[in-house]
Amino acid sequence: MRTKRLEPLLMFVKSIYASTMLFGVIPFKQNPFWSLSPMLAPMAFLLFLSVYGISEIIPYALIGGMISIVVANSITMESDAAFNRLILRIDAMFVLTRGGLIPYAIGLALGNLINALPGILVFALLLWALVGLGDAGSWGVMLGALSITWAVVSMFGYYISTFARDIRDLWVYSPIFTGAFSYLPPVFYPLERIPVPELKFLAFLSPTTSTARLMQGAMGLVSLGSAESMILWLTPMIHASIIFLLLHLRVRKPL
Amino acid sequence: MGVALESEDLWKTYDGVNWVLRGASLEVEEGEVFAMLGRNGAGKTTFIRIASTLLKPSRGTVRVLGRDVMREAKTVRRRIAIVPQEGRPSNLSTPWAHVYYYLIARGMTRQDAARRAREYLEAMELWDVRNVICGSLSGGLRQRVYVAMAMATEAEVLFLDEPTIGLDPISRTTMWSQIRRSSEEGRTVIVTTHNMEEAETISDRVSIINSGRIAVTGSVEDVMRTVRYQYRVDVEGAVDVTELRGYGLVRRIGDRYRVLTEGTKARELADLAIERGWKVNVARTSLEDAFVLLAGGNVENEAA
Repeated sequence: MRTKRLEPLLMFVKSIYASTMLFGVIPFKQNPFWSLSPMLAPMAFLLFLSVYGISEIIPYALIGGMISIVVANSITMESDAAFNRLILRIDAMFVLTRGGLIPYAIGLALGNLINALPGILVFALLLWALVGLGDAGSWGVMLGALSITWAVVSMFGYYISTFARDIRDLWVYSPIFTGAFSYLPPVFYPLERIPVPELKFLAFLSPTTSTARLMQGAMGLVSLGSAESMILWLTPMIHASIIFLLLHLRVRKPL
Repeated sequence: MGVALESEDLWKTYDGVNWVLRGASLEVEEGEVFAMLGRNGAGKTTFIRIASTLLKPSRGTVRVLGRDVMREAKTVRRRIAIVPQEGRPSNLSTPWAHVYYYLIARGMTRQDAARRAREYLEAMELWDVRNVICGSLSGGLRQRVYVAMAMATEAEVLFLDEPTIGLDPISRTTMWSQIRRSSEEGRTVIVTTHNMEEAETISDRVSIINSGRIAVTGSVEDVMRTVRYQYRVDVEGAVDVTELRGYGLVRRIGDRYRVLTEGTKARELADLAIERGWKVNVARTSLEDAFVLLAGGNVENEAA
């Protein structure tokens, strides 16, 4: 009886697993160098800071590096999903699975996350070496914030992909959104460095502002009150809800 | 035998102006191989996409295995599989991974998925390359991966949208055998094709779709009976087209003229061709001739 009730959930998980293996793990094994390119820009930025001796920013840059690696890998969801739909046409086959498109898309996003893991690990080790170990709670917050970043940016990427009529439409957007979510908002630097209050408010249009600040708080770089922490957790949830709603309206029915 | 698919007065427009389907109605029985023939843009793929729950019709209904494809899409999806037109597998994954993980996503256990993946990769002659990444395979082998994915499922109705396009003749006959095998196992196969030999060889019934309308549905023999000309005469040489028109319907094919005509006139035209020193070939009309007549627009104009 219980197994019967759990069957839809098991099916959902199996579909996610299948999609992750097919679109993430196996291609990653073919070309592990994919994980290198999103790591290069934050690594270069880190090198630049070290060369110029701007050491007080380095911990922020390490956290920013982790976020930008997640963003760069997650936003490729737009081109991956569009490629699967327009070129491979395999999404039509996955619609006809028990779970439908949602576990397929989650699997695709998890596949992208696999590419991000080596980069995250490198930056986490640097953070550990340069800033300190922190406690389990801190790393829990870090993981939670990175997971939310992954979920929101992947959903956003999938949403963008639904508008593509040609795969080349999308090539331009990955670098733009990586910049907009990683380098413009206070991800590599503290929010306090933004001089104008209105701009500070505007920075929260990017979900990464909240997640970066949560991570900065977790590593003791900034001090966060419990009310601010709660707002920082809620903000990306609001982003996620809005994107989910837009996505749901877009793909809930066949065209 | 029950009804696997029934469409009733199916209309579809993408832009609100041009109609891709115009009241398409047809019935496909369970267990049969049903071929949909039509020119490019005739509406075959649109029909398949609606019937497989991927596209919403503008008007009309489609029921698959008794279920409405719009209202009961989830239930229908469990019981069907599709090979999309011009789809190709991921270059970075292997045929085994495609078939095995697709079956897992469809809900099979690991053991069943592995068993069926092996069975269908062997059937599609992909077993030897099962662990080669698809990017290293020929176009024909890649094409067969998707067909293996769909056929290995437990689906009762298979929609194959031009599955043999780009395949060499041997691969094509392998595919045909598998399609017939699916039908013998009790599955319904709905296949679109431009290949008349394919339609004649594998299908129990065919439907010719022309500008979104079903022009004719029936067995190949039924379709042939709708053509009033029993013979085709191909002539080549210093031919006067106006003279040919007196014998029947004329169509230009490269340097040749094909005349669809009746028995007595076919003999007269053949005699004339021999007398004039033209190359001549007389044969019974084929499904292709019927197709050209039913879906080809104004045949006479093409010779003008």
